[in-house]
Amino acid sequence: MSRVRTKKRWKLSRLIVVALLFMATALMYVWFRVSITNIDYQIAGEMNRRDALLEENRKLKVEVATLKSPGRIEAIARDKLGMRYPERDQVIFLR
Amino acid sequence: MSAKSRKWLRFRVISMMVFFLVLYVALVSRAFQLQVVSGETLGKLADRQHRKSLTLYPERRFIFDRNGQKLAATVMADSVYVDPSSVQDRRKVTSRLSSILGVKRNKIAQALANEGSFRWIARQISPAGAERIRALDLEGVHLVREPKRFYPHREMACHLLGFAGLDSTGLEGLELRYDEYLKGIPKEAVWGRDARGHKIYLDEHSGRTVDDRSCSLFLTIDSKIQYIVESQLKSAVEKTGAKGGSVVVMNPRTGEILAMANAPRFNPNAFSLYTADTRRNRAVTDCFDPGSVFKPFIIAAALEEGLITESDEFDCEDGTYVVGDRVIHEAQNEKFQELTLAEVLKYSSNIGTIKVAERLGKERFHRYVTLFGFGSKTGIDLPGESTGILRDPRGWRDVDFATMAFGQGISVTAIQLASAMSAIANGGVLMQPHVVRCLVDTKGEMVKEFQPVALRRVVSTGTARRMTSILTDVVEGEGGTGKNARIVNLSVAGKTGTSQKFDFSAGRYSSNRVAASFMGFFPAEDPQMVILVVLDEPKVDRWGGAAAAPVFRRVSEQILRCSNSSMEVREVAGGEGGKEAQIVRASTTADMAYRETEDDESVIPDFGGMSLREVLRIAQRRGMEVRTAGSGWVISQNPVPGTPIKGDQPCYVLFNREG
Repeated sequence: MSRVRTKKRWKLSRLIVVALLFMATALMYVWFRVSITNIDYQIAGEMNRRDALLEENRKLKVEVATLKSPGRIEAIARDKLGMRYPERDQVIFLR
Repeated sequence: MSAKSRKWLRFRVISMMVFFLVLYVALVSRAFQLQVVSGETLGKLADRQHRKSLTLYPERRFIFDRNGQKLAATVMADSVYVDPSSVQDRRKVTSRLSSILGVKRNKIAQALANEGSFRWIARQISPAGAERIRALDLEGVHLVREPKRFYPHREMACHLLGFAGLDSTGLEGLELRYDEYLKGIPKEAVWGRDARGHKIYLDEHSGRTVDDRSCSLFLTIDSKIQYIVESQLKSAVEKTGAKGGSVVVMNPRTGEILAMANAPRFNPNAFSLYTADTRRNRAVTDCFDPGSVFKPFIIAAALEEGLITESDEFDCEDGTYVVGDRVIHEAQNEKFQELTLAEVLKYSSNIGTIKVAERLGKERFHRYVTLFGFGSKTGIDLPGESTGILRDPRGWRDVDFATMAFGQGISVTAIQLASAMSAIANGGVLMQPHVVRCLVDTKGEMVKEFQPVALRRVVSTGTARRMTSILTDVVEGEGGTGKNARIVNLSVAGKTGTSQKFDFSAGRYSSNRVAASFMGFFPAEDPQMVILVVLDEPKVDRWGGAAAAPVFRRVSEQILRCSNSSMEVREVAGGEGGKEAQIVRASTTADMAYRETEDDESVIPDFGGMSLREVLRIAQRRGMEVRTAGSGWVISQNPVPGTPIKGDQPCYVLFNREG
């Protein structure tokens, strides 16, 4: 009688272990999915940031090009620094 | 437990089992139905909800000058659209948008009255305006990012660059001519989004892997020279009260256009504010009677044919010469008797040139004029080029032939004149003018390089040299018409021109409206640059020698001052004040490499004079491999600055303590 009971108990515990394993796997799967989704959010955020920085970089490069404009530099030299083009007789070419 | 109770328990257990079995079967059936039967349809529906497909607008590539200076770039700008179906308070939206954007109220009201979910309100608005609209957070009003073409130097080289429209398509100038290279391919980016519309990264996100074959343009234009030319042309137009003008600077050896300017100018960032007339590249599209600047080509043809020599004298008929039923006079009612060939050009004698043309004959005249490129397109890589007007010689009357000799009755473009003058300057070969040096792809690799194209030999080297000598006398010689183009210590060859414009309403040449011009090159003994100046209808100083020649001089002097990096000074005997003078040879154009490329990361920078630390810092930033030798400061490098960076190709840099 006790052998039959032990056998039954063993069967039950095996069932419980299998069920627990199944549950653990399922939970792990859910946990991984949640982590992946969180990472996807992070990647999307970082990509947005990258795009924004690239755009900023591009804007700055265009601004540099604008600031290097000969017309602007000449205006600063003439109006702010009081510079002017030399007269013909003021230019001496050196060897 | 009684038998009854056991039976009851059994019944309950079986009932539960049946219940769960039915539930299980129902679940499996539903799952089967969802996953297998309707799986595909539902999958698509879910995808539509969870994925967001975003079209990344094609980014138009850059246009650089020959030194890597950006002339055209693309930036992102916000555009405003409304979804009329979701706008609640139309009056509020109309008034707010109108005050921020400056768009008329009725236009906004019209857009809001429409059905559908999309209506543009304003495209490519300012960042400040976009910020204000974003802050208002109006329902049904949305902002979308769009690429916008931006020209950082505003008016500079506007006629050359042209402009691109709102949809990033080239509409004028180089933007139109090289549109297929400049415009990129629209890319599709796929994003996931959650229930709240937040962005999620998807593995299959593949928007950035499209094979983009768009290219940036590197021009032959030197922005420093372009700026000098434009500012000098502007001040000359203001000073002389001219209607407009054009200047072309060309390298006679290669056909490269170093600068091309027209007045008036326009700002390509706001091209719609200007008329089509202002936006036209007159140097290429407009033709005019060249006047006396045409004479050198007739003289060159006669010299080439051996019909005349420099020592020949021509009877200039004391300023009055009858051809057919017309009496021809000299300009400014000058009266010349016997003039040598050199003097005919020096004093720009109309009658002397007619005598030369008569020796040449109509057939040879036409042949040489055609050989110099008149009457046909030069083939410059710019849209809208005109052929000019060169009539069939069979229809020429004697008087037509005579007037054509001094540049009346034939129409040419500025670019044709500059190319023809280049043929004399470079030893007799007609080069095809071009404004693009190379195309560089998104990885910085050169895709196509435009080599100089020699179209044909027009005159022999000997004839070209003889012409150069005669033209030098026009500028340098005592009393020459081109004396205002003289540059201290530099030999200049050139020719002035003043032509009457045809008055279509009166059906004859106008005596008041003229085109004043000067074309020349320097240094005469080794020409580096050909410069053509044309002023349209100057009110003051109406003669080419007085109005256009000084512009040539000022432009040349400033170019020489600015090109200090590649000046070559040579001693010659004599010169002003009896001192030993020097000839300055401008060799800016000889240097084919890109300079000042520090803001273009696709090409090898100039490491000259840098320390090892600086070199390594720049190399690391640009992801290029550097192999160094020696210590101290950089004295040489290979490849030269401006060479596009190629994946694993190292740059060898040599250091030395002596510098």
